[in-house]
Amino acid sequence: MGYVAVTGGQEAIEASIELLKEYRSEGGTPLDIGAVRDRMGLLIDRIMSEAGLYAPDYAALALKQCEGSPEEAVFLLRAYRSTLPRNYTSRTVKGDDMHIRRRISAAFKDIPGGQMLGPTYDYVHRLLNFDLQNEQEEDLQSWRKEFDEKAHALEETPKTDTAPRVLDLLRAEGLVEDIEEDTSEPVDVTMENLPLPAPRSAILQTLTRADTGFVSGLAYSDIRGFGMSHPTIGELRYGSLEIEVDYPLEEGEAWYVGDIFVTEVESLMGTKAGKEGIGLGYGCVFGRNDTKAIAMSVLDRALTLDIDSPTSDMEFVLLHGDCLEMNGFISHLKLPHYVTFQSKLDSLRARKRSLEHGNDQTK
Amino acid sequence: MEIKRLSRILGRCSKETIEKLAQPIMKKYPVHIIRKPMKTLVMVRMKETIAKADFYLGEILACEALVELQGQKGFALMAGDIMDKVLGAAVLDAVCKTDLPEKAQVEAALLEEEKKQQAQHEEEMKKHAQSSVQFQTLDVEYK
Repeated sequence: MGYVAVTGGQEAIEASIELLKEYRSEGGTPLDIGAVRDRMGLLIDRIMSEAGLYAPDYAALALKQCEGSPEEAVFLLRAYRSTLPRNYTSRTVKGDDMHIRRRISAAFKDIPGGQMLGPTYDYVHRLLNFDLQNEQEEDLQSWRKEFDEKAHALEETPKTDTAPRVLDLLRAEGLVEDIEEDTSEPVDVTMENLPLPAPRSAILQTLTRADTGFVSGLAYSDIRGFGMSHPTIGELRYGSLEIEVDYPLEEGEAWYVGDIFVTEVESLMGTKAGKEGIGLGYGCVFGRNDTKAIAMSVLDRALTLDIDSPTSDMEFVLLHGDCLEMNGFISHLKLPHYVTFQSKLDSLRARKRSLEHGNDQTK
Repeated sequence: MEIKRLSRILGRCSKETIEKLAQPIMKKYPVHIIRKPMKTLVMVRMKETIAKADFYLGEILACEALVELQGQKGFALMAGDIMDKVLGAAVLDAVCKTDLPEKAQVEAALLEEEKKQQAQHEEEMKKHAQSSVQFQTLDVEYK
């Protein structure tokens, strides 16, 4: 039984949409898009990552439009993105060139370039700060000025904000699992159906744009025992990457497009059966999102294992984590299913009548 | 000036700075707009570190423009959607290829901007460097 078109309810729909606007404009405080962009940065990062579109202003606009719903905001960005041409692909960018703003390792205390906490909630008390209820912008800006002056007063400017990789130390010692280099042309899952089994490029692209909660939940299940991982974070780095394209007017020249901020993780895992050396997992996501990048690295590793685990099942992991697809599917359950449901009822009623007459004709 | 360097300076300039440099030229000389400012996506191609595979990280919203000035083409592509900025940047890219008397002035102004941008970058580095960890090994013996 399929679907049938129904009509009616147009006025109710229009009123519902008006109610959305009424709900969105609750209270008398205007919501400035710039403030959402600048002061809800982690939410903006999450939306951009799941939408697969780096556009902080538009992510803020989307959030304003949909009362802060991540799934709606991702939907809006994805829909908008589909209206634009893609005229350029960047030159290949490497995390090695990152201008680092945060860099930690859970594997080594002393790493070349040192560890730098950067902005992190890892060490704050999770206590509501009621002072913020009456925070004055003037005071906040005054604090920022003092903070800037304190940094400015530092005599020594760091020589660089790039750093070598922790993984390279282990590679140099021959302690890392030997992995064949993958020189294949990357698959773009936004342009073609996800092939299964998926090549590495498709796995990474699918995971990086997957729903943060889905990726984190699956990685958690893997570590808890439904998989085989217990990673040590070899290195987590967050910072900016300079994006360049080929300059179209002169061969061989590069044109700088802008900076994007990403979080990149290399996790150190157990050794695979029959292999030597430390196993590895990789994660990289738009914005500042430690948890998603770490979780991605766990799943990246899990998907290379030939074991009977949900997180090593490529179809299970890669086909159910897209924010738009998963929420779209769940959401469609709200749409009228009158005919299919009536059909089920008809069958049940027929069976009930048959049983009452002692003659089950449905068998 | 090398294209990469020029584009980096332009990309990090404010819209106001670009307009201040480009508008006098646009008023004085005919600028033919070959491709008017328009939005485009730029797909980011990234190399991971394990199998060294390339993959697509996601797209950037950007805008681009292409102009011609005194027989020289100028191009700009910038993250974001500031159309006036990208048009001005394309004009300045063209200026840097011409022999116009304004070229030296524009380049000098851009080099000054680069110094400011570098100073800002160093301030950012300093701010973050304050959170560098100075480990001290505790005098505790684990048995």
